[in-house]
Amino acid sequence: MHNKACRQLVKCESLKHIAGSMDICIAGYQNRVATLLETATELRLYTLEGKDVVRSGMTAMPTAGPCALPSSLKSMGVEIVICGGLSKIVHDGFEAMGIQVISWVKGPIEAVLKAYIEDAMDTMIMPGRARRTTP
Amino acid sequence: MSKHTGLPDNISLESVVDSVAEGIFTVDLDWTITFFNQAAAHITGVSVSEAVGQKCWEVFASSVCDGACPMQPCLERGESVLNKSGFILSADGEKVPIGMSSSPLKDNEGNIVGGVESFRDLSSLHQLIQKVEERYSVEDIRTNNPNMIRTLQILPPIAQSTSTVLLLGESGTGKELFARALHNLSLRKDEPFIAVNCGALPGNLLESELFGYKAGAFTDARKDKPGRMELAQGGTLFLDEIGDMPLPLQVKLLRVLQEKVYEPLGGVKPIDADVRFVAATNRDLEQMVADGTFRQDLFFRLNVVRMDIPPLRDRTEDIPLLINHFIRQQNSLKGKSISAVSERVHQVLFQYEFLGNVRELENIIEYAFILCSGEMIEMEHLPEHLKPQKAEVRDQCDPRLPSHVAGMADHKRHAVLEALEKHNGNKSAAARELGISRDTIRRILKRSAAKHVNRVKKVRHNKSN
Repeated sequence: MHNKACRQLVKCESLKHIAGSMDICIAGYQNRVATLLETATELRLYTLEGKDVVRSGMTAMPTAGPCALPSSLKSMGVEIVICGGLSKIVHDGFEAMGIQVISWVKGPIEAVLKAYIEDAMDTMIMPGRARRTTP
Repeated sequence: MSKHTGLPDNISLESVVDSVAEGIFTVDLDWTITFFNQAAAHITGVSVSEAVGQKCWEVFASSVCDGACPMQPCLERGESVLNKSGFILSADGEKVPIGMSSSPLKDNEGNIVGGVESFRDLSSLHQLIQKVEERYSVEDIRTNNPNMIRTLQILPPIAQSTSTVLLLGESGTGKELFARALHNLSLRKDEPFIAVNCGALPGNLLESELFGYKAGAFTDARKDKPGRMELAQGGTLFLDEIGDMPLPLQVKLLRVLQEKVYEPLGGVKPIDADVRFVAATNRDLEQMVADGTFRQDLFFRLNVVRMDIPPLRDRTEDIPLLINHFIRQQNSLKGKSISAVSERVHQVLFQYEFLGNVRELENIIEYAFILCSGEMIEMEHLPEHLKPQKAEVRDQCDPRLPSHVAGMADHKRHAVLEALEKHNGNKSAAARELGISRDTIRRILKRSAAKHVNRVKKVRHNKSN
């Protein structure tokens, strides 16, 4: 399963040259956005061209933990990370890598992806938390 | 009075639950929040109206929500969970430690209809534990050891004075850390702190490094070069390994300490030395004075304020504190989230002799970080020399048995003897090969000789009885 996901990732990598494409990552747990980035069990990766998903893949969280995630996702070419809550230290790591983070997101992954494409993320933010986008 | 709760009729159960300090919420079988008290709102930062009707994991942003929820056994099997620990993430990304308990909610027929969870903010308790764990710290130096605490208590007033300080302690005890603390707490803290290792350079090079030279002082001296003394003007000059300074240079240093002036190589005009001196060594300077290898007058000049830094084996109560410190340090350097060392690793580190002192412990944790990819440093992540041999496994499981320490000491003695034999008794060459100092070799041999004498005495005593 993991190898298959990696192969899919490689395919995603090969799409980076496509003009106007964008790689995003959603940190998930059992088909929904994980409550916290550090408790996510899977990373769903999508390549978007305009409003179309042209490639999707999945990989596991790095064994070195969430602190290793910014550099790992950067090397995969990910530009935007959508996740639940995340600690300040990891948030700062993404900021340093120039990766945009949309945090405190809730809901099923497919619904979140749709909301992102339709620019309706405000409807997917956890109660009591303001949407935080970096940088 | 209410039949069910025993409360007066004009007091609702909800108002009682709202007045407690613990956060309490209930969920139905679909994990939707049906009740959320005021304390829960306060701890999570989510208002009651925002929380009720939402899935609990969307409100309670905690480390247990994905896969370790204490409510799950309640809803699925009717089992209660007590005192589970975790953390919730505040809106600004800070971790708030919490303790939580869950129980199933049942209707009158005994059917499970939901669950109730109570949780409390443990931040103040954690802060208290941290304070108890770390009784005393100055700058980057942390300790629980009474002797070290006494030393650290006098450090700030010593730092504020202008007196020369002599730091004595084995290799790796943190002499430079003390020197930096003395500088940082002094009135010279905004001026330079310059460190010179007197054992690292041959005499003539050390002299030019320390005092600088003028153009034409020797072949190839085409222009003036400032020495460390000049670079440290107004600040602190830390002379590490002062015991290794050659005798001719000791005379020159003595003059600086006495007259507060120095002359660079090739210079004809004395320069004022506005420098505070801190010297350090792991050697026995008094013995060196007696042997004639260190000048007595310089020793007295340096020994104005003397600070003895105990070796790690004499302050074992600091081992857990230092382990935690190095884990935190390595986590931020390596981007890992290792939380602790296992109980077995603790036992092994407690019994270890740490001839390399705090630096050796730091190296062990750094080594373990390379191999450990989880949250806990286990035995397999330790360097080979710390892993017990099969025969020692039994002893290692019982921290009361000292034979593991003895085994480690024997192992070191063998290594030293082998290296000495290989280099025809040359201690410097053996020390280089083993990566330890000559003094460490001397200590290992001294200790094993003392053990041998004790054994002989014991045998003689037994025979005479």
